[in-house]
Amino acid sequence: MRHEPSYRHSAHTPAVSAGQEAGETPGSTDGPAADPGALYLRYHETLRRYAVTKLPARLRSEADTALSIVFTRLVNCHKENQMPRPGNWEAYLHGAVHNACKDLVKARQHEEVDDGDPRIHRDAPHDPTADSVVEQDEHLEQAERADRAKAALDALDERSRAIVIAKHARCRTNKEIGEDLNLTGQRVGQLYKEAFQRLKEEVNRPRDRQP
Amino acid sequence: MTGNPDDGYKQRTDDDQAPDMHDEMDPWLDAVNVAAELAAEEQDRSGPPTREPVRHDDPVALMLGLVPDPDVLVDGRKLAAARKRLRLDLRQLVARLNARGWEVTMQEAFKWELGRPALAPALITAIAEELSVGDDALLTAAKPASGVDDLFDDQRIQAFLSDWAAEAGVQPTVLRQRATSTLAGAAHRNRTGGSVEALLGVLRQFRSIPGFLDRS
Repeated sequence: MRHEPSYRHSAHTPAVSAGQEAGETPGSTDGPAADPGALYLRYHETLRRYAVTKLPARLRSEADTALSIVFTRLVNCHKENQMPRPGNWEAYLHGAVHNACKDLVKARQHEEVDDGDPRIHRDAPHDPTADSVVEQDEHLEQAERADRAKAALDALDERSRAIVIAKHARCRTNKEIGEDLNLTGQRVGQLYKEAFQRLKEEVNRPRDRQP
Repeated sequence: MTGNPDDGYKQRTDDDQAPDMHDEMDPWLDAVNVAAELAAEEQDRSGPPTREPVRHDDPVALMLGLVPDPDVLVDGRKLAAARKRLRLDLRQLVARLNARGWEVTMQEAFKWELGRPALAPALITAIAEELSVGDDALLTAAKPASGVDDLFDDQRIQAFLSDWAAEAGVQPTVLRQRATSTLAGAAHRNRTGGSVEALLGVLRQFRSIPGFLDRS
């Protein structure tokens, strides 16, 4: 099954995500489409690192291939004037790389099974380190949930995002956060509630297809 | 996050304004925590954005026309003349390139017009498109660059294509056509760094992409 997280923005979310200035968003909805090369220059480091974390150890040297899959698809979209216009390219590309890694894993599994090497067929069922199918599915589902949550978090406005991070990753209280943001603890609580609601909406949004 | 994660959760929920939301979101709570941890790491790393330049042997960068070819130089005077003909000031040109995703500053663009920079082929194409001219109208006429078509005639490239074609069960011409089309779409012109080694790197990368030949 192919999961395609949505990183597009609804009327409830800002056109420009937290951490990006309006003028810095390449290929925004009403401007020219972004050039794939320009996107690669911006994000190649983080995408390559991300691909390495998403690939199993035996395929980590193929991170470039995962990036190639994404960018050849984008090149084809660009050529056909079908370039996507997500509000947050970084989140979108991370989702696309994740999908490419999954495609790569599946393709290489088929190649291994189809290559006629008898060792693979003999050894696979006895490999004590191999995850069961159920475990693999569970891991995949967890990773996908985290990816979608991260994309949803990135789509929040900067202040809401800061509050969610402070509460969930830094274990800070509303009062402490309020002191940093020059808000009352109660106001932080309200903003957190709103942010959480938006996070839920984003996470549950129907997903678009990615290159 | 340090310490017992349950402590953290307890602390977070102590002053939560909407515990009912947490109940509803329970299946997602772990995912939100992971996402927040990732975002916190990004926050900790944040500072002025410093981009690593692409490696000259990076096959994706070569495919996308991001590796400057020292034999392909932009003529600053031609660039300035084309810009002025279109009645664009430098700031407008930079803004147009920024809108396409290129992180170009006024200072850099100013320097281009004063010299003969070796820019990435894809950037040259973007500039030319914004100025409504062909790429060649912006280049020095010093030395014609070799195109991909010339490189495809190289023996090593042909040997590689023959091997790949035998494996894929297609004619080498099909592979050549497919690769050329992708390269043309990426950099819009027949330059990818200009060397046989560079093209071989790109072709190897294409070969490793599952289903590369299946795409129209």
